[in-house]
Amino acid sequence: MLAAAATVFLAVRQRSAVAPPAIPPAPTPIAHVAAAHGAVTMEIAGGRAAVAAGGQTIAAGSHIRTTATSRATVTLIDGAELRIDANTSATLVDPQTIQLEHGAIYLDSGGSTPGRFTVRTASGTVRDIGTRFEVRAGLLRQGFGGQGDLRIRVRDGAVQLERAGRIDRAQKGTELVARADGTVSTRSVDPFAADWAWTTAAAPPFVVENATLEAFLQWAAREGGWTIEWSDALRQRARTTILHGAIDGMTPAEALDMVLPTCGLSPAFVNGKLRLRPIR
Amino acid sequence: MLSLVRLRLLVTGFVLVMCAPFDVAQGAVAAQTAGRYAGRSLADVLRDLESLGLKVAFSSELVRPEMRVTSEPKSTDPRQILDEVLEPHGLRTVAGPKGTWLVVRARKTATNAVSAMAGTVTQAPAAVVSGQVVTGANKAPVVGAAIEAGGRRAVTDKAGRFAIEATPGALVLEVTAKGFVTQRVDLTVVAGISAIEIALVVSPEFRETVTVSARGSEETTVPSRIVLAPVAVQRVPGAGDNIFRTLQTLPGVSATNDFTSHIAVRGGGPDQNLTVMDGVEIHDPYRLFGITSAFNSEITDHFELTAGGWGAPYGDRLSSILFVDNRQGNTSKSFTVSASASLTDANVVLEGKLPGQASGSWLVSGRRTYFDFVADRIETEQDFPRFQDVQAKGVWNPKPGHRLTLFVVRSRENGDVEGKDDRVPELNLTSRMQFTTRNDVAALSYSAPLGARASSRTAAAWYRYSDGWDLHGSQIDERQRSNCECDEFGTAHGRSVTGFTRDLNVRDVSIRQEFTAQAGSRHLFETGFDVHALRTGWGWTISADTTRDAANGSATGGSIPGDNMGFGVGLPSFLRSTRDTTRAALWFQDRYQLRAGVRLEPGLRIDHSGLAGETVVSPRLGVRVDLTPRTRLRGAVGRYTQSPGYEKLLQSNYFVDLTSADSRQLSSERSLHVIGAVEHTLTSSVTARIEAYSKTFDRLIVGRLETPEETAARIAPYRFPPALASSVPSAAMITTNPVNGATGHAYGFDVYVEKAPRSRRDRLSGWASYTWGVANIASYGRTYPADYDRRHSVSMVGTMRLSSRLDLGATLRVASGFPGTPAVGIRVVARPTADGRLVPATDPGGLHIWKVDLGGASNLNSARLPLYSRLDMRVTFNPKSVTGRWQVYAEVLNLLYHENISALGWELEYDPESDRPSLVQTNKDSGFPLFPTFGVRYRF
Repeated sequence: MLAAAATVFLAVRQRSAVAPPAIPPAPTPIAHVAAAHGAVTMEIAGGRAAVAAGGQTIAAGSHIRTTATSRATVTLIDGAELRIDANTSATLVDPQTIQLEHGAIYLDSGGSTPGRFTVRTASGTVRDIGTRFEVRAGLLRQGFGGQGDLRIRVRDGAVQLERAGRIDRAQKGTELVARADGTVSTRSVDPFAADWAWTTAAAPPFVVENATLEAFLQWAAREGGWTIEWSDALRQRARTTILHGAIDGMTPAEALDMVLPTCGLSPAFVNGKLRLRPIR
Repeated sequence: MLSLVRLRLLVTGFVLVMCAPFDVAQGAVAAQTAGRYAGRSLADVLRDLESLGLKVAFSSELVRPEMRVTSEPKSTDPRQILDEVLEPHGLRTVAGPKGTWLVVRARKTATNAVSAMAGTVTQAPAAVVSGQVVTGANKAPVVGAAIEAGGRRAVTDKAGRFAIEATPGALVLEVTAKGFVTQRVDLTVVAGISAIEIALVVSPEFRETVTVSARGSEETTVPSRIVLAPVAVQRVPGAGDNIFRTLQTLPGVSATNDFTSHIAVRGGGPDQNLTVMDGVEIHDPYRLFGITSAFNSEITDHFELTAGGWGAPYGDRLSSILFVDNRQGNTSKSFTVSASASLTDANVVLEGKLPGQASGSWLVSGRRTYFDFVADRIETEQDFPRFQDVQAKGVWNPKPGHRLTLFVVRSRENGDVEGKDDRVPELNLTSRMQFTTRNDVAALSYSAPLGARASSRTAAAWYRYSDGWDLHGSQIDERQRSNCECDEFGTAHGRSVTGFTRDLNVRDVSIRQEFTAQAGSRHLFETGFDVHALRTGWGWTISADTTRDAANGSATGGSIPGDNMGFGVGLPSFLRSTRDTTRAALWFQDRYQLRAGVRLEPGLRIDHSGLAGETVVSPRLGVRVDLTPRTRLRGAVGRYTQSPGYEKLLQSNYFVDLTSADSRQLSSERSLHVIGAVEHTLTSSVTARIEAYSKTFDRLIVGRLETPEETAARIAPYRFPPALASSVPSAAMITTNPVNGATGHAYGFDVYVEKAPRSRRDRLSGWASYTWGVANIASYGRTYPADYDRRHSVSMVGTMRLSSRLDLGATLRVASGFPGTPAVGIRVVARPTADGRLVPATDPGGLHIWKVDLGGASNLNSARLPLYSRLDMRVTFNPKSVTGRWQVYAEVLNLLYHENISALGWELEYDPESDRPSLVQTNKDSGFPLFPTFGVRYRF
């Protein structure tokens, strides 16, 4: 009885005391904007809307929306990259979960632990298994699907789609389309196809100035979806060659066309492999 | 006045103010650039130049840190300074994307060497090749296609457009795009070259890794032109990988019959079609009597058919031109092999790049029939008809813009088969056919730039065709019989005795020179000449007259529709005729861009025929107007001529003796083409075209009618009783003496709709066409339908993708019948006696033997064959192997088993109520039966 009375007393006393002004704790950032091309709107968790700018931090629950002419790249806290296509609406629920309302995102899990990321859509949930993949939902693009359809393209690794108690897995080089009527179809898609071009356009530009040729080639190969056929001599040469110039706004192929001749090389693409040939 | 002075001051002040920053800026540049580069690090100087507004890209690989600017640049312009400081280090600039100048190694050319010695800065003359990459005929832009040429690379933009720098001269563009067949485009680059259009073909699964190509075309004015990629030929059900059978599905093009590959274009005969392979005129484009073609689709770059209204560079034919360009070998690998088998033949292709550092490629293909391997083992005493050919092509680019090409073909056909007519075994009726055919080609061409704005191509070719035939034997001829009610085959029917030998030779040594020159931005002039030295010889013996019953006396038993394939009575029994002659041509053409969207191509061609001894001038004009981005008008008008020559008669159904007295009066045949077309892009994948044409002909060469004296001499040996006088062929017959004795008119229109696949997701692709046409000929005192007059023709070719591994294709053709010559009655067969008289032939019972009478010139083509209809279907399976290199298809020809009549057929039957047999129309000569077949391709 005494204990109960003491508790009530302390409680009443606490509530009746003059409280200091409320200062909400700063939301913990889970990502930051690596690149914003065009007008990318971001609704920070809590309701404030802002135009995203490079370097801006993003809290859990933030909503990102792109227009028909804008794209963005967000670097998640563990280093993974989330690229957002035009006409997309998505929410960063937490560092491992993205809610995609419509449009397309491309997740490059980079060096992060496989299996950490989940993309939720109205048509199902996509989980990565250490990968780079694109999820497109509520498709508006000509020639593909209708409302409620979901398309997944896997550039590397694998993903699985969970919906209605069913799990479908898509491996590297596979396009999986889950339609609103419950049907699922797959087909092959090349990692170097032009369909991936938007992901490069959304990414931060590669800074060529003072970069090594090796770094540039690794960037171009990753963005272009090619595999470089390295030789020891070539790799050694690429490590010591310093580049000068700029490739802003160029596709990986265009960038190769610009940079490689200045190194006495020309690119050749054979079945997804990037071969470097000396210019005689 | 005051106000005027103030105004002047204000204006002067404004000008000074506006000019001041410019002067200051120029002064600053001059100050910055004067005397401050020599001895400095080259990399630093390049960065300095960037600060003056240049965008420069370089790397430490070529611009090494130890490099110094050797001497002070003379120029004050940053762009020229850039070249000056680079040149001593063996470096130069090339234009890169977004206005960036790329620092690259200088080419080791004579020009550079001379420039270096002279201490001046000179760049290799440059041109920019620009254009658009589209899908098929639908003109939908292909985004992201990669174009590689001469070590440079470009990617098409959203409109499918590209631009790539090139050195004037010969150039190969390689165009790759996901979902399309990789294509190579051969160009001759001159400064100011017109934009080119490259049409890609959607890749079927199997062909994805195979490099074939279709030629990029300048936006031509020629209306009646269709370009086919080899892959299209390989996909048409019923075509058997034979280009001619594919062409037969296009508007205005008809097969003369189901078995041979001969084509008739808008009513013209096969001899009026010119075939050009790699720039060489091919006089025999068929193999195995036309069952297949001379062209191997596995090594062909593209086929291009023009059904009339073509430009001045080609001529000496009245009806059409088929270009067949073989592709180069693979330039990315040292050695590759592929193989395939179709209904008639199997082939292997070896190819690769030239060894060492040489730029170029080689390709060798071998093709032969394989059914004879099996058939010879079953029938060991027979050599079934077979062919084998070897084609080789080598391309060497000794320096940029220069190309040397060697092209060789060696082809052999032969057979030795014996047949037996065993309806009456005791008569032991046998026939034997032996034949050998040779086709050899060797051609050498050299392309080179002539300065920055002109180019030259020189080609020399040697072509030889020869054949030897020996047909002899006898068989029961159902077109002859007596009215005996007896063992009809043993007694009543006559026997036709065949005795025929033939030796034909055509040797054509030719040289062709082409020049192209750009004059300003609007004119592209083309001129050139060609000379053919021809040695031709025809010889035959026909030792049996009983088969000479064709309606036209000059008929050679060819593929005349509606005729009974017999020899004409006008053919001499013994022929040895040789003509060595020369023909030459000179042409000039201007491709004139009048204004945006309007293009004119006036041209003039002068042909000289040594055989006719005349020179003919042929003016021509083509027009193209782009009404909207989706709608184009094309038109052409011009004169076309065809000189007499034995080389043309190889494909003719008639023979005329070019060494006869009459041939000295011969002139070239002439035609006036007037063609107009509207082409509209309905959607990104569907294009429609409506085209109307009129071709008037005059001076057509035909065999003349006998003179009364000749007729009298011919019938003089007849000793028929008065009751059989009507059996004596006393009407004037058509002879083999040539005259320019016919005129003609072909006119009509066709509608053509093509659905091209935009991507591999497109399930349906193909084309459909309807043609209405009339082709009349006026000769022998009457106007009548030409041999290939076909009033209505519908054809549809489609491929439906059932799944990623399975395609279903169909080709449907429905057409009204060709004209035919009906029988006018029967007459008694003439039997020669030992003393040279012709008396009525009788059977062992003494009854007269009768034969079908097809009449004479007045009866030619006065009937019609029935409707032609044929449906061919194909199922193609692409097994999902590790390499994806297999393709298997099965197809059925004439699936509906429609009996297509290729000639009006007649037989005689016993008539118990008459003294002579009755005439019955049987139409036994038909086209393909229901026929299953298959094909396999494999690449390794």
